[in-house]
Amino acid sequence: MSPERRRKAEELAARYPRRQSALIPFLQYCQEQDGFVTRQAIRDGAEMCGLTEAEVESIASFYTLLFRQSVGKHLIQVCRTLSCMLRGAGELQEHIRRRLGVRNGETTPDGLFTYEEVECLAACDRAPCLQHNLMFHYNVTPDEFDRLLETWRASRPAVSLPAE
Amino acid sequence: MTNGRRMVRLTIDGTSLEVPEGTLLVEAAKSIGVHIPVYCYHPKMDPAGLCRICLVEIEKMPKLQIACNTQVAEGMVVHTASSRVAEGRRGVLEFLLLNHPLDCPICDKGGECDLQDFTLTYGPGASRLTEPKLHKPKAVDLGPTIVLDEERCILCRRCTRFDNEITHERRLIVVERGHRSLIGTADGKPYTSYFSGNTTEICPVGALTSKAYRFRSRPWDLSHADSVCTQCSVGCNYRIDSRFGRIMRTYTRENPAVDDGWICDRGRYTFNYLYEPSRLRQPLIAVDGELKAATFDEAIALTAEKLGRAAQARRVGIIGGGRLSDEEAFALQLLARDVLGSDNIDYRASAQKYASPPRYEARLADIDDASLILIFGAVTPEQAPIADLRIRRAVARRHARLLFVGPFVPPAFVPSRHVPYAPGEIAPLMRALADVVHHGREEQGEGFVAEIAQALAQAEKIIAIHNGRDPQAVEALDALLDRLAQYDHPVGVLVVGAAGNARGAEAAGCVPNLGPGYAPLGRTGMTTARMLDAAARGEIDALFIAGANPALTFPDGALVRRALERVEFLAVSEQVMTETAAYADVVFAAASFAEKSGHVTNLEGRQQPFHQAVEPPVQVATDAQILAALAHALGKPWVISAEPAVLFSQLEKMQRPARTRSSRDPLPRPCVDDPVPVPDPASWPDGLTVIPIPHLYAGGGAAAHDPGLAPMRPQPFAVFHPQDAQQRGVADGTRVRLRGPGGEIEVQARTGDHVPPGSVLVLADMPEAPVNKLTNASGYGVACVDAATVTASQELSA
Repeated sequence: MSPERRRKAEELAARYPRRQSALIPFLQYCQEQDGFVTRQAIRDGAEMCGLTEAEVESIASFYTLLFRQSVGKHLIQVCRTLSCMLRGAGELQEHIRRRLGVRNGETTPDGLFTYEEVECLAACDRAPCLQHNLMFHYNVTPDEFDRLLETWRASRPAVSLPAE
Repeated sequence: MTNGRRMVRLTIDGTSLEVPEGTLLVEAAKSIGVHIPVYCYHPKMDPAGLCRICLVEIEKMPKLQIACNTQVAEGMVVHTASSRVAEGRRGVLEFLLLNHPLDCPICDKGGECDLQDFTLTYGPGASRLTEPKLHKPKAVDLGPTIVLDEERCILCRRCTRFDNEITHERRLIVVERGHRSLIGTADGKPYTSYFSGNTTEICPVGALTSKAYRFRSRPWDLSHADSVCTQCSVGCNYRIDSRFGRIMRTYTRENPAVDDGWICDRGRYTFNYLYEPSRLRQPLIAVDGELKAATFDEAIALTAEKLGRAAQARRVGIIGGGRLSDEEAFALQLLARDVLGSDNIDYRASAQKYASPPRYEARLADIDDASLILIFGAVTPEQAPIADLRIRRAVARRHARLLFVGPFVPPAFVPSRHVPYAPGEIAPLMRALADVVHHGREEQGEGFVAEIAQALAQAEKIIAIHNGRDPQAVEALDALLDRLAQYDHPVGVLVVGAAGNARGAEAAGCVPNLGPGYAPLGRTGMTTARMLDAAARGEIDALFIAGANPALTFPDGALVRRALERVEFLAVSEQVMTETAAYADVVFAAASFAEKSGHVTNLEGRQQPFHQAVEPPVQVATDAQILAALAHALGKPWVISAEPAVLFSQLEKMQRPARTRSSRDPLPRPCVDDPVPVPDPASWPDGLTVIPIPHLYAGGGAAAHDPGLAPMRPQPFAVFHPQDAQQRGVADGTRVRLRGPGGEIEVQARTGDHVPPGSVLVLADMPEAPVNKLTNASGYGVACVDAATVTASQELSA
């Protein structure tokens, strides 16, 4: 573990009664540094918490916001659970896939956009819901998506995920 | 009240019963013969409540409850067979089968599959799913022993919980989540646990399958024989499953006092060597220095003549017994004493001197509630893996302290403390401990004495585990434990055997000064070392070695090789061509444990019967038959019966007094040779102390020839302290030659902090690189790194 990362690990661990509680914030921090949760981050997390690499891998792979390979600068997640699907998420998904030329889980060749269909985002009252990096967009139509896409292209992305 | 727990009264399916508070419903039902189906629940593991198949109806509770994670309560009324329960289970099964491939006709589990069986009993006749099934990876190579079918998996997590709660290795995991969940390891590394085979048994479906058994048989075609594993001295009970006279697999046969329902992979997978071309299938006789096939009668006649003539001149010796059954070990000493008239008999073909403690014998189950486990010499994960699971549980679950005393830090999966002591220093340590404990001055004492003494004084129950190699340390430990026992500390000792039936051979009289049942003879013959020494000097004319491989396992390798080369006549009884058999004039092809019946005695002294599973090849005889035939040819047919049952009835009578004595009465001790000092590393240029280390998959004989073990078998290696490696220019992973006064071996170099500086740990019992070329009779040696090999490997890597 690099000295800087060790310092961060200790700082995070000190916040909780049990070191293991700091694992997810630590992995988020590593992801922010490296773009995704690297193998080294898994090893570092195991060392920090006294877990085996396997146990950290199990935890890292469980959470959909921890990535095991690099993702685009813009992460677009569209809900595919009941309320959103009833309110047009299917058409929206179809539109996005065509527009970006990717399938579910893929990244555009320029490395800008990663598209994912995910389970309930907990915004059923304003379905369909789209999550861009960590920002929610509600009642998204295909036209609305095109407008969003233009603003994203024009802007630098915000920090993907806050570490804390 | 049982065990101080309050009793709770409840009703299950109209039957009223009383069980201790805290009992799970599924266990309460089992106690009155009511079967509740389970997948994720396993009686050896904590309840998980994952699969939901165990739904039951409890009056006054609105929804169905899971029986596996619901504790009994006073006045509870439970229905396990109501129509609501049937509907609930039908629904659960429909979900479990949603994506299941239903490939039962080609699934190894078919016929003994809980998913099949419960679907038949409780399941829906058809699925209502009209969408395509979800597909997942099939035939995933999980490691050297296991193939995983992710589609068949119902995610009960028994395997991952086993790896966590039972082995504490924590390497098998669930990755991803929800319907995408998969069983796996970190980064797809191979799953290499020594206990991996157990996951194929506890898997309630056909997801985890054994490579050794895949597509080999249907379970209903198998014949079963109750047997006992003889690969180490724990003596786990298992079942041998065979088809058409060939062993297909082995399966656990739970004995809570011994194996707790598990077996290790060495025990489980060592049987295919029987079907290799290297298996001895007929006797061999050396003609002009070359071993040629012979008949059994020719081999018996020649051996009887040579042994008989040597015996008349009092120049005969017999080695072996540790890998025979109790009956055969008894017959072997009958051959020595009552047929040949010699006490030159010794089962000790390795550095082990004692297979039993003189007093305070412990049972394996004593580990369970020990508060301090003190280990020296023995490396339990490698030499007694199933006993090690008990140690892991005692430490992880009951917070027992685990204390290793010895030269290197042994592998451990649970918290432990290592106290560094050089070989030869352990006896003085034990004496110092006995002294401070006796005088009640635990806080005093030099070095680590105070620390260990205080741990001993605080412990409520102490179990010591060692390998019986150092007689002085064993005697000193006995004195220490006697002191502690006088102060009302429950104490116990377990001696890990070097051979599977070392304890049985010792108790059957395969030592020079004791008869069967540890009966002192008042006279003594030669120990193995003395026999070998006499043979090397031409003072013994004939040696008979049965089920032992001293050429590989005896610490003074130079002496063995001189003896076996020099001795005029050597007969060996073996299953495969061993390093020892290579020197023989006559080789008998002996039956394996699966091919005979009898008893074996495990490290705690438990004598367990095992039953024949398959017939041996036609020209292969059991050791009892070989020994009986020799007695017959030597004119004393009445001495040795070929029938195990007859031998056992004789042996049992002679063993009774030792079995029924008080554990405080000392057992007579097998005689030992004068101690040989550990070689001084300064006596050899650039010398390092050689410390042999055991490995589960090392060994000659069966382990070396078994194709099932081949993928797990290590290459010969030596581990250096990083400092020593650096000084000598040895890089991790390179091949180097170690040279000692007695010879040299080539090994792969590794480095590790667990090695004390100035020492090198060398993998023991590897035929490719026998460490006994470097060691002397003390069991330790001295060697340097051949500089030429270092340069060569550096050039190779550059």
